[in-house]
Amino acid sequence: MLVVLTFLNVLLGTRGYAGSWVQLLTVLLIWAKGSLIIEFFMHLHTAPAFWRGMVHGWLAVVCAGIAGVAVW
Amino acid sequence: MLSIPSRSQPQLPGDLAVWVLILAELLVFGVFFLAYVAAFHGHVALFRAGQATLSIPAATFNTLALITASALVVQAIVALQAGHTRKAGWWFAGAAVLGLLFLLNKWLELHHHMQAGISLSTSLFYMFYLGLVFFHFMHVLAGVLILAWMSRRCFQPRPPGMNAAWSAGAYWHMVDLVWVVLFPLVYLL
Amino acid sequence: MKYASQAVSKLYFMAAIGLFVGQILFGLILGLQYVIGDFLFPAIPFNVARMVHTNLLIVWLLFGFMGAAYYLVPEEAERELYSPKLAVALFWIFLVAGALTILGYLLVPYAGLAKMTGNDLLPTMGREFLEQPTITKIGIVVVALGFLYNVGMTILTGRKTVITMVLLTGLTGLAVLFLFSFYNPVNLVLDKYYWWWVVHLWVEGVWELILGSILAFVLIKVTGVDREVIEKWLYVIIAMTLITGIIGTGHHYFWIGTPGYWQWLGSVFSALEPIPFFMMTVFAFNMVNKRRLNHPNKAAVLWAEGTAVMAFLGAGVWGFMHTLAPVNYYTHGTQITAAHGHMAFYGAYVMIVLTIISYAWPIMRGEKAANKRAQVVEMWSFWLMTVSMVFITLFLTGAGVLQTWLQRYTDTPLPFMEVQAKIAPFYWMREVAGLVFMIGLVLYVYSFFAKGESAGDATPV
Ligand code: HEM
Ligand code: HEM
Ligand SMILES: [Fe+2]
Repeated sequence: MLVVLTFLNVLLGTRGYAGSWVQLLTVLLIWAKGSLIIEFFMHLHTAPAFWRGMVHGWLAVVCAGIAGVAVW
Repeated sequence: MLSIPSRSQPQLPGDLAVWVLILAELLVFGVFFLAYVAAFHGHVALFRAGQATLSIPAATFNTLALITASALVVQAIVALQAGHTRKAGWWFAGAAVLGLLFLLNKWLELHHHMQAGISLSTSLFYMFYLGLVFFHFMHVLAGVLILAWMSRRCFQPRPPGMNAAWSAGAYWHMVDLVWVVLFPLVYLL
Repeated sequence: MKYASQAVSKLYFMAAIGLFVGQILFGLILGLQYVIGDFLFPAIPFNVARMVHTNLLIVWLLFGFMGAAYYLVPEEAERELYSPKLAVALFWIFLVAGALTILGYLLVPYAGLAKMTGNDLLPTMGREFLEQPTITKIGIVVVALGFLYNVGMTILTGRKTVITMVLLTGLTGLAVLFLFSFYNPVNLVLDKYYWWWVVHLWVEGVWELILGSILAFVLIKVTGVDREVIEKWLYVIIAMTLITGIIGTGHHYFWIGTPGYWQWLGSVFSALEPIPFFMMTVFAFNMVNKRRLNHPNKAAVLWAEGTAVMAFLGAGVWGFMHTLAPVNYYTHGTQITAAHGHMAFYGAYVMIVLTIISYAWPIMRGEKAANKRAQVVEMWSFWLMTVSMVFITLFLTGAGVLQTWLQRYTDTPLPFMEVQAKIAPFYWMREVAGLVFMIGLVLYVYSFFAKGESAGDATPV
C-alpha cells in the first residue's frame, strides 16, 4: 500500500509543478503529501494523540501560513 | 501488503527523546518557512524573479529521491521486524544511497549558483533560498550518516533493536517531510 | 569521594567563591555609581569598576568550570586524575595571574597598563570582557591548554561517558574560541564580528555544553535515574543548542555593519535558542520526579532545579524578549540588555557552578551531604540570591522599557542623560536588591561553616 501511496505522492509532486499557477492547489498538495508522510512513513497513526497532533499541527500551521500569503 | 503490522496500544514509533528532537527541528524549520512567507509577501516580484532561476527538474528528481528513500526505510523496518536483518541492511543502504544522490544533485545545484556569483547577500530571495537549502542539506547529510550507520549495524552480529530503527526512520521521514514543504514553497509557489 | 585526586577541585571552588564575593562587591560599587556619579572617584572610576566586576565574573566561572571538571572527570573516567600536580600548579598560576591583572586594573590607569604590558606589540586590549592585558591572555591560554591536556588524558585513558565527552567538547570549544580574542582587526566591523565569536559562541554555544554535562552529572548522582536516560536527553539538548546557537550569533549582527541578511538569520535562529533551555528545565524536573532515591543533599537538588528554571527565564525568556531585529532596533544596548545579561549569567552559569559545589563539597569533606542546619542556611541563601536577582532583573527591565520608550520609541525623543535622571529610582531599587543579594552570598559562605545534625544517608524512594 505504501508503494502506491509513494507513487501517488510523486504524482502529486509533479502535478504541483505543472499547475504551479494554482497556488492554493499547491498548498493543498503539500498538505496531502505531508499528511501521508506523517501517517504512513512516520507511522504516527498508531502513536499517542499528542504526538500525532503536534506533527499534524505543525503541517497545518505551515500550510495555513503559505495559503495565507497565497490568497492575500 | 506493505503496511507495518500495527500494535494494539498507541505507542510512539521510536525513542521519546528523538521525537522531542524532531518536534524542535520542525519548529526551527517552521519558523524559517513562515519568515520566508512573510518576506515573500513583502517582495513578490523579487522572489518570483529569483524562483525563475532555479532548476525545477533537479529539485523534482530530489523530491523523488527523498520520498523513495523514505519508502525504503519503511521496508527496512518491516524486514527488521520480521527478523530479516541482512535484508533490512540492504534497504537501509539503498535509502542512504538515494540520500547521497540527493546531496550530490543539490551540491551541483548550489555549485552552479556559486559559479554565477550568487551569495547570501545577492538578494533577500537568495538569502532565504541558500539559507533554507543549506540548512536542509545539513540535515540530509546527518540523515544519510544515520542510515548508513543503521545499515552497517544490520550486517553485524548484534543487529539494531527496533527502537533504534524506528528512531532513525522517524528522523529521516522528518527530513523528507520538511523537503516536501520546502520544495513547492521555494521552487514552485 | 571515590578518587583522592578529585580533591584538587576544592582549591578551585574556594577561589571561585572568593572571587564571586569580590565581583558582587564591585557590582554594588557600580550600582551606587549609577546614582551617585562621583562615588569613589577618582580612586575607582566606573569603567574600572565595571571591568573588575565583569572580569571577576568570567574568571570565577572559569575556576568553577575547572573545579567541576577536576571533580567529575575522575569519577566518570573511573581513574585518578592524570596529573594532580599539574592541576595544582595551574591553579596557582591562574590565581596569581588573575590577581595581578585585577590589581593592574585598580592601581594603574588602563592606558598605562596597556603600555606597561606591551599592548603595542600585539594589541588585544580595550574590548568589553576581553580587557585583559595580552600577557594575561597568553597566560589564560597556557592554563587552558594544560588543563585540557590533564582532563583530556584522564578521559581518554579511562572510561569514556557521554557526559565527559560533551564536557571535553565544551571545554575545548571554550579554549579554541578564546583564541579569537587575539584577533583584533583595525576594521571595527570585523573586530565586533569576531568579538562575538568569543562572547556569544561562549555563552550560547560551548558553555551550554559544559552546563548540560555538569547538570547531567549532578542529576545522575542525586536522582539515581539511569545513565542512559540522562545521556539521551543530554544529546538532544546539545544538538538543539548547536543548531540554534551557532547561526543565532546573527542576533548581534543586526546593526554593526554586517550584511542585512543577518537580520533574518539572526532573528529566526536566535528566536529558537530558548528551546534547549526549555528542554533543560523539563529534563531536570522530569529526572527529579522519576528519582529512584532521596538524596540527603536537598540543597544540591534545589540548586539543580533552580539552575534549569533560572537559565530558561534569564537566557530563554529575557533573551527572546529583545532578539527579534525589529524589537532589538529599539532596545539595543539599553538596560534591557543589562537585565538579560544579569539573569542569564546568574541563572545559567553562576547557578550551575554553585550546584556542583553544593553537591561535591560535602563529599570532599567526607560526608554524603552537609549537616541539616548548614543545608537550611544554604537554601536560605539560594532563595535570597535568586529572588534578589529576579528583582534586579525586573528593575533593570523597568528602567530599560522606560529608557526605550522615552529615548527611542517616540516622536519626541529625550536626551540620554535626561532619561537617565528619570529612571534613577529604578537604579536605587536595583542597588537595594543588590544588597539583599550580598546578604544571600554572605549566608552562602557561612553555610560552609555552620554546624548541626547530620543529614543522614540516601534512602530509596
Ligand atoms: C546563558 C546564556 C546567555 C547569557 C549568559 C547571555 C548574556 C548576554 C550578555 C552579557 C549580553 C550583553 C552583551 C554586551 O555586552 O553587549 C547579551 C546580549 C544579548 N543576548 Fe544574551 N545571553 C544568553 C543567552 C541568550 C539567548 C538564549 C538569547 C536569545 C533568545 C539572547 C539574546 C541576546 C541578545 C539579542 C543580545 C543583544 C542585546 C543588545 O542588542 O543590546 N541571549 N547576552
Ligand atoms: C551573580 C550576580 C551578578 C552577575 C552574574 C552579574 C553580571 C554582570 C554582567 C554580565 C555585566 C555586563 C552587562 C552587559 O554588558 O550588559 C554586569 C554589569 C553590571 N553589573 Fe552585574 N552582575 C551580578 C551582580 C550585580 C550586582 C549585585 C550589582 C549591583 C547591585 C550589579 C551591577 C552591575 C552594574 C551597575 C553593571 C554595569 C552596567 C552598565 O555598564 O551599564 N551586578 N554585571
Ligand atoms: Fe547572543
